[in-house]
Amino acid sequence: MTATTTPAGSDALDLRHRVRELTNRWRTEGRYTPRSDNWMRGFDPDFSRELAAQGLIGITWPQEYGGRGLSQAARLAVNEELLRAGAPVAAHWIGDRQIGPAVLRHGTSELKKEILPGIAAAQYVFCLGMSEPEAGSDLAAVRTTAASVEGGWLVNGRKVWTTGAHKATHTYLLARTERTDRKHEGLSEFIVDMATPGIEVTPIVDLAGEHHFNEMTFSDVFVPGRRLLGTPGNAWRQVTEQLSFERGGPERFLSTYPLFALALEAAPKGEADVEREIGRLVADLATLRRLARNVAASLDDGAAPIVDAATLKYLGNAFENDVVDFAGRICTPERPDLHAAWAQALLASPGFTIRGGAADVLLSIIAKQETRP
Amino acid sequence: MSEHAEELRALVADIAGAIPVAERSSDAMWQKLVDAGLSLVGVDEARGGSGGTYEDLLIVVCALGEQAAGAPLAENALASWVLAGDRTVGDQLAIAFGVDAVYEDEMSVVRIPQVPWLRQARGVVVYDRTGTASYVDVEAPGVEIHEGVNLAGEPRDDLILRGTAAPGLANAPDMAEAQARFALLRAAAVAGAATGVYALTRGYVMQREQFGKPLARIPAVAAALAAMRVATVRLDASIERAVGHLARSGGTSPTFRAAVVAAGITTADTAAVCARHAHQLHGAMGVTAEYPLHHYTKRLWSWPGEVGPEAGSARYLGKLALAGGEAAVWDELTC
Repeated sequence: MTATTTPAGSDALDLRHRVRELTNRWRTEGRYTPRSDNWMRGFDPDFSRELAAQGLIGITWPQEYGGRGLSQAARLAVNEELLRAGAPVAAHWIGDRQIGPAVLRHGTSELKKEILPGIAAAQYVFCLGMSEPEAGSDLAAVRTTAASVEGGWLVNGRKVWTTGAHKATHTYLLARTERTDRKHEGLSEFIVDMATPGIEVTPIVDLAGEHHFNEMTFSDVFVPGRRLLGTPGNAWRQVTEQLSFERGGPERFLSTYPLFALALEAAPKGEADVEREIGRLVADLATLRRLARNVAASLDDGAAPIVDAATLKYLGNAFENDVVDFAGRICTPERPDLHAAWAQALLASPGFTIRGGAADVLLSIIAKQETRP
Repeated sequence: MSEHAEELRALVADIAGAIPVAERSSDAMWQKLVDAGLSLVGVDEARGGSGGTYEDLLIVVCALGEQAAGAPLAENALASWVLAGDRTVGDQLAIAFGVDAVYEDEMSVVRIPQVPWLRQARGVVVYDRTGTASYVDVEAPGVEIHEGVNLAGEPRDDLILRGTAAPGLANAPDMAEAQARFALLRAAAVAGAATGVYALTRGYVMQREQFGKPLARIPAVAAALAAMRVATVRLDASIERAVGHLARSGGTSPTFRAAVVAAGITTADTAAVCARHAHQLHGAMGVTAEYPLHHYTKRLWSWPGEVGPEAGSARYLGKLALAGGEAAVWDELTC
């Protein structure tokens, strides 16, 4: 509870200052402009590599794999500050957040040695080959197949909504390795080099006119056996664990923080309605930051905080949208910068409550956990 | 959290479990709490208290809320804590914050509305509008008590002082701190009631069958139940956060007060969400006098609005944010 007085707490404070120093310097030098949703939209390998050089990627992983063996609480401190600054972190975000932890949990030591140091050094850029045309919220419905062949697997199928596939060096891949009656069985996870022959990436331009999404087609793509992650057929269990990591982080409520900071500065003083709205947003943000700490603490304790993580994402996405609504209400012609930031966040906002589990799915996950007989 | 948390929760559950839910605000209930030493938790033993910490008191108050019990325990313990700097303490105290006071007849008559459980009190700790604390003996000349109740039937009596002489409490803590501590106790009571009403509702929708299956299997029902759970997780987190600021920065710190105000906002939201969904999911069963639900929901409807003008005020927090800017929001108001 008294985190600032413990060694871990002062480490976290030191990490916060280091991130602030770095983001301030980059911003002052004009090397990036803070904007909403930059953890998905702000792709800058140079920035990620500078973070890596300072040892700020993969910090919870063991040192032998390029990490620093720090706590999830320390990682939260780093990520909160990066998101607060609206920094361009998309190049390493997915690898750091979920691929690294998944490889650590389920990978062979060979796979760990092969993959983790590359992520920690921001040399490897990951995308997520999960969703398919017929498998969105119903992820277990994936149809992409991986057939066992001499020395590995042969992959065929289509993935869609794959963020950053056109810039990634590797993809995580969820594929069916066995036909079974129960769709949650027979799935397996792989780490695939994007340079492998047979992978085709085609852009899907989003409603903001930006290119982040892609479709990936796999035609007889060979994946070496060592790139299987975990146990064949056990992917559903593994991937639900991975998603609970994915869900409980601060990017689920800080996507629009750069807009919030600008709106706070531009907000008219002395107006009761504005004060009240800001007060509510501040109260919500305070609770969300606490929830993120709780999730990190649970992970540090080896627990799987499924309900807390889903709650965080559900409430966090609502907060992100509330920020956009509030900024829209206080836009004036005198502040074209606020208007532009609002418009950018608004165009990004439909994705908030969809990616990583749609809001309604989150409620059903919570209900399922809570009504176990 | 407190090292005695489990023990205290079990003790309260034992005491409440022996009393029907409709009678958990009765004198009999109160006497059992007093006998168990719970009415003076968080007050120094050397001053007549039961020892333990304010965190222990929060746990007791939360556990009582979970049992739909409306005893004046938070009021008694907090008033005693205020009083303890000046004198030894006992039971049956009320606490009043004069920020709501109405002054009449050139200030000689003071009316403080809705003092919890005043009619049962032997004395009242009163903070006047200037923040000065005094002790008012209810038998003293000029003291009038006008009885009233909240929606749950709990005493909320008006205190009228007509030129009453009341000794000042020189060692009383600042009113702001006492108010913040009181507001956080009320938030904990609401968190308890929200948890209790959630458990009742969860049990009902898992057991009650319609359309050939338990209600909980209907997606819209499951979603509403989950929304209740989200609300309780959220309130618990905001209270933990305020407790963290108290431990770290102390009761007089601005960050503690701001954290309590934030928790107060969440308290009101959580109470409203849980009461609404609980009734909706219980259907007609929930609106009968016999079924226990209303003992929870009436408290959820009453308690959040009773904690003074600062808590629950989003404007207060908004003004702090606007004055301090983004740095204050990040490092003080939301950390």
